[in-house]
Amino acid sequence: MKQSVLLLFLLTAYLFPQIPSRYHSNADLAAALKQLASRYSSVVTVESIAKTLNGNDLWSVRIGKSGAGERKALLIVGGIEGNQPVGTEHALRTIEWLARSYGTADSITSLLDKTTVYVIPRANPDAADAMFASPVSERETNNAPFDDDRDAAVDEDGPEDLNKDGFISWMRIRDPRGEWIIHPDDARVMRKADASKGEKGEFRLYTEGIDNDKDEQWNEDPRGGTDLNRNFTYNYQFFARNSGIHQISEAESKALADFVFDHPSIGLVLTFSSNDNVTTPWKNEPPKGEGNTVTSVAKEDEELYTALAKRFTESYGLKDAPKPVKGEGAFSEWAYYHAGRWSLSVRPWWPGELPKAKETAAAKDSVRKPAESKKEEKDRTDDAAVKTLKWYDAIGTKDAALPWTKFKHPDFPEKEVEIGGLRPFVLSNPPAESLNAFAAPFIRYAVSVASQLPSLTIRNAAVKSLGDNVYRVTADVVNDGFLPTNSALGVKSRWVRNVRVMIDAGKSAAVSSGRTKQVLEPIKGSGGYVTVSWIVVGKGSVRINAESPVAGSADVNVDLK
Amino acid sequence: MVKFLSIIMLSTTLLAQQSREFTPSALKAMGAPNTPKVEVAWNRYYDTKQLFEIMKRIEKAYPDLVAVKSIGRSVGGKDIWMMTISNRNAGDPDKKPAMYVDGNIHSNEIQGAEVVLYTAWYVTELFDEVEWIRDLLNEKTLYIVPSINPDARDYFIYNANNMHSPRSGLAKRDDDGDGEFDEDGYDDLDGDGNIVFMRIKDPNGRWKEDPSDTRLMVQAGPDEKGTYTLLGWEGIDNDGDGSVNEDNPGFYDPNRDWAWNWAPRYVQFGSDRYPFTFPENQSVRNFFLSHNNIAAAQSFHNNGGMILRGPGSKTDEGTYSRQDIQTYDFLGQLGEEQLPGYKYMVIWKDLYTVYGGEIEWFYGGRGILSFTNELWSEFDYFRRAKDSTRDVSQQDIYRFDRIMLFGEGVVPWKSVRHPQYGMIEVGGIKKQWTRTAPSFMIEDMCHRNMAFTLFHLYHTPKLSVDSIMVKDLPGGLKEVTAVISNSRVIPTHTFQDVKNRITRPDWVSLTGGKVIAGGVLENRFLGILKEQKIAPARLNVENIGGMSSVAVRWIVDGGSSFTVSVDSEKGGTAQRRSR
Repeated sequence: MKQSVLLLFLLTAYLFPQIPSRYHSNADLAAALKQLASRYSSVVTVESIAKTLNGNDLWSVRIGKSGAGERKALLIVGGIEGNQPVGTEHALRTIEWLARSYGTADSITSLLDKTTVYVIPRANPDAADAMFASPVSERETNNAPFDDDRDAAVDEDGPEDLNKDGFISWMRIRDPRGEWIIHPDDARVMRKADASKGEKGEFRLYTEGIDNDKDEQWNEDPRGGTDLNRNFTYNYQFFARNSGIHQISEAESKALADFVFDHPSIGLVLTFSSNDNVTTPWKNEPPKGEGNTVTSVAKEDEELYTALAKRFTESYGLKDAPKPVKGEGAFSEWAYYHAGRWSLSVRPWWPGELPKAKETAAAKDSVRKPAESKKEEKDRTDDAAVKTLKWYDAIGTKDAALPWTKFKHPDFPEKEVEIGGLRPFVLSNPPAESLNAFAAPFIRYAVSVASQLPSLTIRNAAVKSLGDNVYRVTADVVNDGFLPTNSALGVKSRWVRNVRVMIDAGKSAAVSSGRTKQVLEPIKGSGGYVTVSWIVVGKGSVRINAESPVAGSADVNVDLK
Repeated sequence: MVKFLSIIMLSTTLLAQQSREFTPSALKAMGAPNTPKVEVAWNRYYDTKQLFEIMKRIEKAYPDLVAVKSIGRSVGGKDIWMMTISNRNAGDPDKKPAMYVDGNIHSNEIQGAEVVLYTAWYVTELFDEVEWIRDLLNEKTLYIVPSINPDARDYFIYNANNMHSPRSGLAKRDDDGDGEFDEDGYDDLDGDGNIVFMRIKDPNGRWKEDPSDTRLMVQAGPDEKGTYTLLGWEGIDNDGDGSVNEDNPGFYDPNRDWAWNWAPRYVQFGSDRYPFTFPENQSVRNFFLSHNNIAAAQSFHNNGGMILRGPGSKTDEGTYSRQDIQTYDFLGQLGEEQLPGYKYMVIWKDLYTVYGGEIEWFYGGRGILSFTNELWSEFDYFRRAKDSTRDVSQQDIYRFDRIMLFGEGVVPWKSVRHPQYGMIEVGGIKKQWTRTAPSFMIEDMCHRNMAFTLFHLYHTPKLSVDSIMVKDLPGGLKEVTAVISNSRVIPTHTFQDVKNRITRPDWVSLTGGKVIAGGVLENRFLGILKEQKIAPARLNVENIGGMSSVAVRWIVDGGSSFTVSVDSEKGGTAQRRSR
């Protein structure tokens, strides 16, 4: 089994010949993006939309036919959760795939001729720095200074790599006053003692470090900051840990929000985060808030979300996803509930089934699904750490957990202290050599949803003479895309424009009834239409234009005769 | 030469001061000086530039008391000017308990600026004469921003508007969702600078002229034929969409742009992208986040004669604890006395629901007691002794115009040609009043509201170390007990602050001996001590309540004379040495 998995990973390397199967530091990411922009300059442009406190750029990438103006668009966001670099890797590979396929694969070429794909591959670059620093540490926050323990000293007690193994891991102190015990299913993992089962705590557990400010708390005020995925306005929690001083308080979250607002063409947002609504689609529920507050997906949008979600679960075979995390100030929920865009979020990786062979064209059927996975399913515990370690064991990765080793800790001279436990990042990110293998289904999903955007045309434009130089002009404004021209929340929030229809009767005719400009209600997808009509007096021809940033633009000229 | 001149100038100044004190030009009324150093007319309104010039004149006349600085820029690039008012010779203004005051967040609600500026003028002019004011500026600081909305203040003053426009700031917005920004605003059809009503003669109309004043339109009776149809505010359909004036400059509400209980536009009309979308409000946010000494705040709006406190919505009721409401009530009731015709009210309950309002963030987000005053009450027209501010009809307002303003306040109906409606008439009340006071009532409004502000500032915490008792313990150790009191109504931390750990605790420190142990006395009389095991030489005190005290105790090794000091972000500092 181990061999076949390795083989799978190696075979999939070919999928992204320009992207090595490894995690990219901020410098590596910048270099990779610049290289793609220069190699595929006709379809890829890269722009920095913010500078972080660490001095990193927040990159946005535009993929689409160059020279074309603003067209309907999909936005892909990776790395909004600082400890999920895998999402960034998927986003980067998406850019490479689309750029390389433009002009060589017909489906991608025709998609990008009509649609723009924006990618913000790493929404929290400062958190990513921690992955490439020495020691390596897992962090969800940006680098904004914050006095977590309200002692008027800022960021004064962070963790330290006491045993010099290059990682900030865990330390456990044997102490009957502690709340923790060794996990009965896996000795590498700690869990809280369950008093209702008569279990007694045996350890105290902290992140690795010393009590720098001598307040008998360990690592309670580390460097940073704000978790950007807790900093958006929808269901924001004031005064919650890492949620920021208020909503959209950070340069990064503001740049992300402004990017969406400043691109009215973005009709759909795909986020890699644990606020998953793809494996578990949103359900409409009775409203809970006051006034017009919206607390669940709108009834009229619900089935479309379900349909979009199914494309992922049915086509790509990734199952067994962990329960979605309900957002508190999450970006992807904000994108729908407050910014009015269709918004899909999918967890970029979980220790579930390994990718199926059909995802890797070259591997074909030569790699079978691991035999153990069925049994694993049955053995499954609720403890993510135990499950994850099993997964790593199955593919033969030995260093997913660091061995508990004794350490003489200056703060606990009388006690037995051990350092070890889960290696940073293993819970939410796969091994580097498997990145290419895991990216493919997510990329294909992104392409699939980009193809569902609404698409305007005008049909059945007709002129009927009502007498001397008096005409009735009619036309159908049709949406040939899958999604309607607006979602219920797009209408409600008013951040997504409805279709605007204008008529220009020229100099020798005048519109005598109706408005020369009107804004239509949303038009359903798959051929839904609205008929518009005017009475025009005069001669010559009239030009009708229907347009919306998220659905495109269509024109027709008709002669008055 | 220069020296000589400056000696002359110095002696002139001395002479001026003496003459102010000893040779009044006539009987000085209580209140404003007869010959102020800075002459300002308080019977008119000022534009942004004029406001700034007055601020600079006050600063120049009273450099020890006033500093003018910009806290940021508006959408249109104008500075947001703040005056910091405090006696600099009696301590750093940023370390004293302080109050923030602003006006004019709503563009058309201009008189907040004059009220706030009057406050600056009055306290500086009377600093020497009135002990109460001198003590106040020695102990406390005022941060005042006459207008936090300079672009739209000037737009209201210098462009054709009605009394309600623009409420918004001037960042462009697409109000009607047609992809165009601010393309269909009001149009001043007759070019007189006023946006008033349009009417058209219509034998089937439902409106007619009021017999008591033909300038006023009233509805025809249910069984009566009217003579006019009203066509709304002066304007044309500029963009051919069949609607008139539907996309004015703006529109967003700068007072729905604050973080506490912020809601999107479908819940709260007037909110925009997210809290602090606009640079004017960002300036205030940044100032608050860097000035934890602000213990009180006030915002001036118009109109209706209200002293408003949060919460802005029913769902936020739980945020306002009993303790803090007691403090609010004390100040609000004082305000009702100082401001006849004004009512102390709760925003959501007594006015309407507001999400994301400015003063709600001051309290909810920063734990600072804050009010909004709605300046100018309808009570002020005739000061009838009715227990309602809503006892004034349209007829009353037109009557006030006739018998008090001699007809100056209303544009009489006149014919104009409208490109879409044809021949119509325009007429109605001018923008300069009904929401703002007429000239002869401005100073009264300024003074009374200032008095409310100054008492709010007065009641920010005032701390002192009242006593230090030293008792010998066996073994040569000493027990030191100190009482720290707050002699004002506002606590060093509101309950909202304590609950959410917004600002740091107050620090009470002992020097002069080696502290062995220490803590806060939970019960001073029984001697029940809550020990602070870590670093007890500087005790963390969660709060020092209004008109109350905290006792602390240490066990000290060595020393004979001890100094106890208190250092509070919102309460300032104080210290005492033991005998």
